[in-house]
Amino acid sequence: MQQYAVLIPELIVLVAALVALFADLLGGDRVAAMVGAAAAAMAAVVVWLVPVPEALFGSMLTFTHGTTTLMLRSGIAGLTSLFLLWVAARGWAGVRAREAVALTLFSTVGSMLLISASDLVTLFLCLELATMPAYVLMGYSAEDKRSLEGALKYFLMSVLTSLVMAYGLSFVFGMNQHTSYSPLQVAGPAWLGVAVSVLVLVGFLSKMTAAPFHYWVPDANEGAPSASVAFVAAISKIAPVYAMVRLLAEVLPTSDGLSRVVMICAVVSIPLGIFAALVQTDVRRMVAYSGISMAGYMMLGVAAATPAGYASAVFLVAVYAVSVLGLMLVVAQEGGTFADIAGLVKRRPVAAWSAVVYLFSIIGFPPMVGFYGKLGVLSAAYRAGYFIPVLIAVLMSVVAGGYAFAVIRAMFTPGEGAPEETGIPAPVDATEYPQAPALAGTVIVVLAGLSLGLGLIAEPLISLLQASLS
Amino acid sequence: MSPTVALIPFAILGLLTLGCAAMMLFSRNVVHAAFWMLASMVSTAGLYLLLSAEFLALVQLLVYAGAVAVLVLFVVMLTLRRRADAVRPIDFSLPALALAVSFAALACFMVLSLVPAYPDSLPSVAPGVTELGLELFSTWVLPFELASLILLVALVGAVWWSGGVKRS
Repeated sequence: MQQYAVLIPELIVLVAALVALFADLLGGDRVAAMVGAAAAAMAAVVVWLVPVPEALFGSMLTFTHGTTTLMLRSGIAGLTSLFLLWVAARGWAGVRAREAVALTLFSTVGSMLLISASDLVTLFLCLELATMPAYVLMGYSAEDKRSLEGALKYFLMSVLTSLVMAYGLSFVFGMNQHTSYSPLQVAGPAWLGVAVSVLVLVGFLSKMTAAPFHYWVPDANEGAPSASVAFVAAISKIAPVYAMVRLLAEVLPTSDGLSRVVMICAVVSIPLGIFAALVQTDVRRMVAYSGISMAGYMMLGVAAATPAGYASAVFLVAVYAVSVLGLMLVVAQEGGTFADIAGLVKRRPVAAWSAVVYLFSIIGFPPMVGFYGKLGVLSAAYRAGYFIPVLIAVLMSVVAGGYAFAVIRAMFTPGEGAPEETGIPAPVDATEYPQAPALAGTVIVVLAGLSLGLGLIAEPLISLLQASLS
Repeated sequence: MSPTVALIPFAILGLLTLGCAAMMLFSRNVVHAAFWMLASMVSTAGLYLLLSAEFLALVQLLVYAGAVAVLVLFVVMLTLRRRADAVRPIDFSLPALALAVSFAALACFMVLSLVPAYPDSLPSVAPGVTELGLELFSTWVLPFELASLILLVALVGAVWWSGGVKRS
């Protein structure tokens, strides 16, 4: 019985999710969000305290990667906790938040289990549990037609690619004759292994919003409540990327053919995301395109097919999640269009300067942590011999500065008829909601601190990940 | 049962499955297409029964023929405003055809390359419902519980969107 103690963190989060569903009896949205934040924080700590067995339920879940598994599970729970603290302070775009809090927590349970999943069935179900709440969150403003349209596009695309992935996983099962993780025994010609890997990767890459599975993202981001985007575009991406590289490291055969396919996707995603981000005048759409380019950088590491490449890919997505979470929370309280954030530095200096930190981290400007993520994938791809893709990626990171500075310029220059003269705050999603600006500000500052401070320990973190994936 | 005797019902059921699927694609009336799909699913259940996989046959009947086909009919009923709307021109899309053919070709190739891996004869007794239940609640208990959580999430989402709760 004692070995099941390792799942206590997941159970804590799950209980909090169920409590949040019944928050009507407790006092409402703020209680739900506070309970969720407290439970997620507790889970993030408890992860380190309970005894960790090798495997659980046969080999459905394995914890052999030691510190890496714990770190990622704790990190996901911790970020969820920060996010829910912000929700407790600011609400969810002025609509009833308790269901959204419950869905967030369900998704977190799925993400945390996905980190240790080592069976094809568990993998697929955890991935679905992590993304299913995201469909609802993206269409959470049920009266807003744009939000529903974006959510529907997201749902159809994601379900379709999940089915393609299930098709690929069924071939893995057919060839290996069992569903637990072990190197794929390719029955037949080698291209069959590549075909199977591509089918499986389609599911993951669409969850990471890589091209050519990206077209729904900008519309969905613009229509959805910014708080939902903050969760879906950031926290819910961490676990899938780790599951993907683990699958590549332990099950799927790596080959030049597969690397070439992934590299083509990367070289398409990076310029597409960055050039499209340059012309946006809405931070939410810009975040969508920058997410597409980030998926491209992540795939550079994956295509390198070395432990260093895999480790940097996971690190890049995780630190990108921290910065995007922060940026989207600023957007959620100040508004998304450039007109909304005009002159923000005078109204809310803390939020504006934090946003500068996030943006620099997103484009990979040293010494922010995003720089180390990009450096990792670029050097891994370079060592694997991909000179031209790396050159394109480096040049594009310079161009990426353009969209970051566009946002910064908007924040630091007063717009026409800027509200700071009249003292009226810019339109906010949650005007009617009881607000606690100090708490929300603290969350935003903590995330900015993480975007800066994680850079100091980037090297040890990447080598820890690398050790677990080799 | 000798292989020839087993082959006759297999051929009948197989042709029925394929024929109904083809009819589904070529019928212009969406309601008719839904019924052809139902027929195709039922004959697939017959194929499972022939392989003495009773549980799978039962699930196929309950879930696909029962729930999925009824759901499709509901959707058709709720979205069609006039009876005439049910008749649609056949939408012949070349990319879709290419995609479907390539997926099917991959599946066929895979089956052919995997055939030697399987024994020539089936086990005399396929696992029954009891063994399946025991297996489901011991080895597979984690996936089973995960599936129940996914359904709960879907339920919450459905209630939220259908307006069962006050949204502000």
